[in-house]
Amino acid sequence: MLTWLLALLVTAIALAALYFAGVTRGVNAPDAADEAPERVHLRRQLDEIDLDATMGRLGPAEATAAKAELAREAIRLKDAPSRTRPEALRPTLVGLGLALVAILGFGVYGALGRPHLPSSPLATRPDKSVQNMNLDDAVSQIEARLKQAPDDLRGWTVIAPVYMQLGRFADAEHAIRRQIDLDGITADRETDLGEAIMMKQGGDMANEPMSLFESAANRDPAHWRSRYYIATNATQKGDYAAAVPLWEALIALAKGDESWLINAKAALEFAKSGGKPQMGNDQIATMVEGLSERLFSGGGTIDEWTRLVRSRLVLGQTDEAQKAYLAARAAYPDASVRTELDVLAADSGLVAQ
Amino acid sequence: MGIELGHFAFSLAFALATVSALAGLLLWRRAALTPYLQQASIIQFLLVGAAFASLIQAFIVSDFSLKLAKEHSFSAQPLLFKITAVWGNHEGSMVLWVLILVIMGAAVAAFGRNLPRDLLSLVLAIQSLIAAAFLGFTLFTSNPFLRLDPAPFEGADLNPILQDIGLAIHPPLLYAGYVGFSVCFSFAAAALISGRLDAAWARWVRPWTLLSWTFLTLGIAMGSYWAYYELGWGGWWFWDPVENASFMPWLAGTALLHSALVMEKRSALKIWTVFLAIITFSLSLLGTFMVRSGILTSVHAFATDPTRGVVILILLSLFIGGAFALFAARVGTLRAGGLFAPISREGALILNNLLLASSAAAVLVGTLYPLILDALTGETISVGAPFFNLTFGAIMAPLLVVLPLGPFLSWKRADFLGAAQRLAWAAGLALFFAILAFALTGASVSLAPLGLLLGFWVALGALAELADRAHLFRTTIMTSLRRLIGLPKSAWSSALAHFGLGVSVIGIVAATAWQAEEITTLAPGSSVTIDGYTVDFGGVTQQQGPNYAADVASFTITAPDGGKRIANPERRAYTASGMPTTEAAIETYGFSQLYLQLGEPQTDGKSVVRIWYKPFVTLIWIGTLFMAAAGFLSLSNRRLRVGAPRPARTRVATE
Repeated sequence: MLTWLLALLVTAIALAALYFAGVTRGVNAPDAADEAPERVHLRRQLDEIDLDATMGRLGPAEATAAKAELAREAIRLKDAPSRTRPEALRPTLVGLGLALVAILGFGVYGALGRPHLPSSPLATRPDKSVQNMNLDDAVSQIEARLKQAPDDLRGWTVIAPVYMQLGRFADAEHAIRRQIDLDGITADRETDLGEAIMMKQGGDMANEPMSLFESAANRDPAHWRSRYYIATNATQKGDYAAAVPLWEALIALAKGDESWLINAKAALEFAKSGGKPQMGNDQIATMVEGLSERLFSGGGTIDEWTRLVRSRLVLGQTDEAQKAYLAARAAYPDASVRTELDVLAADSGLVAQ
Repeated sequence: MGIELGHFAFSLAFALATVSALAGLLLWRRAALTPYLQQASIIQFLLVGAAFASLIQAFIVSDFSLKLAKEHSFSAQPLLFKITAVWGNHEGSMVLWVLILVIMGAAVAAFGRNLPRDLLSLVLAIQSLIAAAFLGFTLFTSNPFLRLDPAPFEGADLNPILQDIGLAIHPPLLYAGYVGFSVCFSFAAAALISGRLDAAWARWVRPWTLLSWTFLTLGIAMGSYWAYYELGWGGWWFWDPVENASFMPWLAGTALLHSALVMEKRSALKIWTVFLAIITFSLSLLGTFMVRSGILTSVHAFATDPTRGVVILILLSLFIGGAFALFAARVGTLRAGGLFAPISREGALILNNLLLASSAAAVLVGTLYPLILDALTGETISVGAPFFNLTFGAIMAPLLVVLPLGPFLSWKRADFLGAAQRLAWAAGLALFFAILAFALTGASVSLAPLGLLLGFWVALGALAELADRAHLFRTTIMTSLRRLIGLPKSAWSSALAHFGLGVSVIGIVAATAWQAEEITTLAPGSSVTIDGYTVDFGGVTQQQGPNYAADVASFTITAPDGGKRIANPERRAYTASGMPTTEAAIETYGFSQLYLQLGEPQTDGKSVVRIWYKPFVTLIWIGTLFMAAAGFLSLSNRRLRVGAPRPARTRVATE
């Protein structure tokens, strides 16, 4: 609407300027040019010859010859009839012309233009377009930017979990190392780096990942993720004596509603029993099926979804885990609230599509 | 919104131009119409200016809802290239083309108040007709205002070769030249319709011819220098069809400049001048057609869309065909001009015109022949530099030989021997320099010393004209100096332009005949010597640009006099398009240049390096600067020109 109004305004100004130019200048006395400009030209040429002759640039004989030529030209001009007709234009004719301009202008624009489409400069639309973008586009965008600006901490922070999710673990490792270079080391980053290297090694925690997890746990006494890995490592190696206090310490950190708590408790029981599952597998399976049914039919919190995916994975039901993961993504399209789930999925080889 | 308003302004300009053209062609005899047409021309300029500004604004803020910005811009591009990207593509460059066209129209309207009203009405009507045709072409086949919804997040980047300051300078200058000749065309057509064709007409056309010619000269020279440093081939002219497309109007325009001079001063060559005015703009249109239709592939071929080609071809035939039909119908009613003897200033200028016209024709044939042959027989041939060098050179050589004589001949009838005598010292000096150069370069037999001889002859001949007019050595030095300062600007400008041409010729000959080239692989730390210059390779480092990554080489050049300089040629890879470019490093020593280009890196850590030594190469462009300066000088000369004839001998005797 605003576009049309402004267009109307522009047209009105242009046509008014056109109309008044004709009216005012038409009324005023005719300018000098109206009267035989060729004769004016000849007279000025004559003056030039006189000037040149007095300045000595032209000999008297040449000047005379040049003047004679001009005289012949002037005689010829005298006989030429006037070509222009002096009467004014009829107002209806002027009106018709102006109307034609407006109609043609609006017609052409109406056929070609998109008056209702607002401008969208890059600066005013940072979020909207991100949502409409698919993951590959987003990654290449961010990569292009990082190539320009390799010191962009935010870029590296955003892209690292995406790499994990895409299974590009070496790239993820590089991205996390860049974060550490740029912004210093933290327990979270050490753990992230450990995860990336672990996945790169095919899930093997030996060597570097393990020392990173231990360093992270030392750095932050309340850091549960690194401790989870350390405890898992001990359990997997069958070192149950070491594993039990590790699991107990980890569970002590929990507030009670964490999605990993149920797994930690199960693992503690497992370690305490010296490697025999406390609950029967079928018992666990029934519990998980119940949770699954509830979530798929009635929905649930993101933590519940994460717990379901984790449980399916623990039970080795990769296909079911994948289904649950996709359903969770559909229920929570905003990536920022499901970071934990995405990391879990990435670690376990689940895919986003 | 800005974009949509720009789109509307552009559409309204189209409507206004269409109605102006119709009204002007139908009612040109009505003096009352003129002020409307003048105002309409100025409003067209304001509207197209607003539309152009809206595009620039959209590019600056990276509004990728504009399809053009999405396809040719990138958010990380530096500001200058965001702006120049507007016309670094087909659609946007059409807007620039049209903008310059309406600027010219508005200038005619503003400065043409002393013109007869019927002539002014016709000129503005035809100018509007051309504007309407190209506004319509832009809107309906190459609309730059198309939108995308939803807007994409990022653009595709401008062609890296175009990401250069050259894009800010070359196209606007070149278009100003091309499009400026449309004014001459409009004047010619108006003269044919109204029958007003005399010395006064030539006086009114003069500034437009001069302005267009000067801009075209600068535009071509700038394009040549840009190609020289950006394309990395070390060449400055390739006889590429697109270069020819700009060169042909220049040749025809140069002829027009000279024949209009005869017409203004002597009322002669009227019909020929009108013919040249039509030809010159027709060649500009032909150039536009060849570049835009996609029948050529080159750096300039932005978009290869056959539909556009057909539409331009139709416009081309309408304008050229219409103008020549008009010419054929009206030529009989035009009064032939004054008479003159074969040996006279007029005669010399006719010779100049014939040679320039034939050289334009030779270039036209060489450019179009492969296209026509391809269209008719499907056979693909390429007409290359040897053809052009030979034919063009063969026509230019006689032109350069007689050029210095022209200004010494008097109007109407002249004394050839007298003129030749007054040029004797210039000829002797030119011969001396040429022989000196021949001896200094090892006395090897080639065409080069002859070429140099021509260059010196033209340059010194131009100085000789000034010296002669100042009566140098025929009177005291002080009197000569006073006379020299008192010379009319027209004398200064023609001498300056001819001197510039001589300088360019010297540069062309020297840079072509005595350039040295070295292509080699260098390991870091090793060096190569070319023409006395030692080039040490320091190695390659990686660097980040705003929207590209570059391998930057470091060379230390030791000149024969011992001076050291650092040169850094680059190879760039642009992020968005992935396209590589090379950035040559050019070091200027006096008038000569050392040109370094970094080639492919080799697996063994060495790099391919190409080095040229180009003696006196800058004279080529310095010469064109002289010519352009002469154009501006002549443009500043508002005086009328009268060519006083040399009285017939018999009559002088009887007087």
